[in-house]
Amino acid sequence: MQEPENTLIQIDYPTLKAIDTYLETFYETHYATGKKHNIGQMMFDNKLGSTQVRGLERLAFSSTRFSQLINYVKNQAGKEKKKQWSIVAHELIGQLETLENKAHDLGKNHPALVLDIKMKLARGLIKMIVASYYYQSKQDKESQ
Amino acid sequence: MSDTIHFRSKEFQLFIDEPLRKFACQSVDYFLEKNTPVKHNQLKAIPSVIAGGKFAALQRLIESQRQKNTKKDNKPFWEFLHQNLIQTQQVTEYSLYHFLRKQPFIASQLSDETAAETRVQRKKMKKENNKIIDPYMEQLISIFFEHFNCHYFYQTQGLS
Repeated sequence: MQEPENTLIQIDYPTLKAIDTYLETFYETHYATGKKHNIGQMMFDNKLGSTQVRGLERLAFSSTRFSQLINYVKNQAGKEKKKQWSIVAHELIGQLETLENKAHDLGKNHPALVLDIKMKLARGLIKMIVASYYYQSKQDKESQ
Repeated sequence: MSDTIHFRSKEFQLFIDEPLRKFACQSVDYFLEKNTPVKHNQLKAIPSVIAGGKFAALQRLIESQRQKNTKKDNKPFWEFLHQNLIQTQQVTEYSLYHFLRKQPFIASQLSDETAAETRVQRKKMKKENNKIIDPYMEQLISIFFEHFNCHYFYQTQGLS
């Protein structure tokens, strides 16, 4: 069995730019105000608490494997009784899978790049969700 | 993917992150399609058993549950795990052993057992092949069950 190469593979500048551009487009189509695929909004509407949102954010930035995120969401939806995660989970898993497919395009199926790119994309998505959740939360407080 | 890959390689990490995840999810979907779902507590001991005693401990758990468990509803679940994780003679669609055998980075290291001229030779080849597959099984069994359990819980929401 061959030893892995210890060379550090870095994402080049054009790919980093492509990741940002893709996330910008993703934001426009899914997260700009009033979009029905906005998971931050869904989390707020389904009364998921701040702890749940921060938990998701912490996991996104501490996990070493993309599938840990998908598994976390499935686990949350599977164990709860209140059904708050169910709708959110379905949409979030779908969006994560879309990002995973995009990572293969951007990383040209190079394993090290694909792994790195999909984590970057996932973290970008979670940032959108968290920001959107707290924005909704603030709007709600102000309107009361 | 290269012919042989190391456990720490990015190729192997991508394998456990994607093809293994998809395979585990398909196994769950297949089980649920054919059987009555078992309660979540049947699955909850699996990760700690693997953490404590690796694949050998899991094999013991499956065997004991399969033989001792008296609840009729739980029997098919442990039978399913037995069929797809322990027994290797029969090729089943969701056998983890046969799924691993098909992966190019493992297949390229295996000898063709069908080419053996005698029974003794075939047995020897199988033993050699298992020596190659077993370390992979040990490495990925806990992650396989992370995928398997989470997908199972997700697909059977409310069945705690």
